[in-house]
Amino acid sequence: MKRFFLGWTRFVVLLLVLQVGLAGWGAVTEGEERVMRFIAHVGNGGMLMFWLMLSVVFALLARPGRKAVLLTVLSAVMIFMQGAFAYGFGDEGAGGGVGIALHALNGLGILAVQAAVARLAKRAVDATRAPRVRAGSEVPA
Amino acid sequence: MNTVFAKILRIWMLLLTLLLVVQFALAGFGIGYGGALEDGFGMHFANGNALLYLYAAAIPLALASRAGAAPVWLTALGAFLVLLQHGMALVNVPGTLWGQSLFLFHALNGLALVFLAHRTGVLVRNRIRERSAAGPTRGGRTGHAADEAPASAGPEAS
Repeated sequence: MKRFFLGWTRFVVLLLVLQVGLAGWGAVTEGEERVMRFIAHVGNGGMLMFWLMLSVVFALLARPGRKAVLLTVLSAVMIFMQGAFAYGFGDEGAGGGVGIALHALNGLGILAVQAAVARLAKRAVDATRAPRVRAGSEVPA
Repeated sequence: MNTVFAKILRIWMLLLTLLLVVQFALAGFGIGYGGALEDGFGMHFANGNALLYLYAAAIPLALASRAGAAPVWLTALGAFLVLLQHGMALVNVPGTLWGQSLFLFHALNGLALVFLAHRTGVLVRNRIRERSAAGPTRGGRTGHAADEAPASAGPEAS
């Protein structure tokens, strides 16, 4: 389960990186409604909300350490704030600008937190593997 | 290693990392402000220009710090990637598949730059720490002379 959580977190990190790219994709589209211009970003973002909720469940099952679990919960909370930043500050003008600026910073924050979780998950996997290797080496080859 | 320049370079890389993160916020501001690339992107463009020059200035700092070849190459790579960001912005055509794919890479390249600037700073920090842990004479003239000794012994041996 710890191995699965590591792989899953790395998959989420990959999707978060892709999400930054899709934001760039949407930035130079043309049209009226922002949601339609950023449709790939919005679609992937909606899925990421679900994936990070699953991450919390997986973290609780995999038990990679208290810190990793808390950081996973934090990133899930942060990704819910993304919706508030994107839609809660209006569509244009300085208000809308500040909203999306916070949206971008918070997005980078989610990526950083998930990268930290991936590193902690790797450490947890290595910690389970180490005793097994030591036990194996008791038998002379 | 020149400890003074190495420390300046370390702080410089922190500054560049900060400005690169701010650059993401300013890009977001431009999108939220008007949507089109003209309005609201002024600060993103100004900060982008500043980043080009400040990242280019990190190369002579890396050379002067004499902390090995890696920081020099990494800062040069960073400056090149910032230049690439400007190039992508210049040849972009909004509303086309070409422009959209290009800006997918513009965003990913920006993300890579944050990572690169951060890791370069960490590398320089670790080199400084190794240096100060290696000998009680930290930096200054004596440390400099110790660096020179094996280099001047090279031509004699060959």
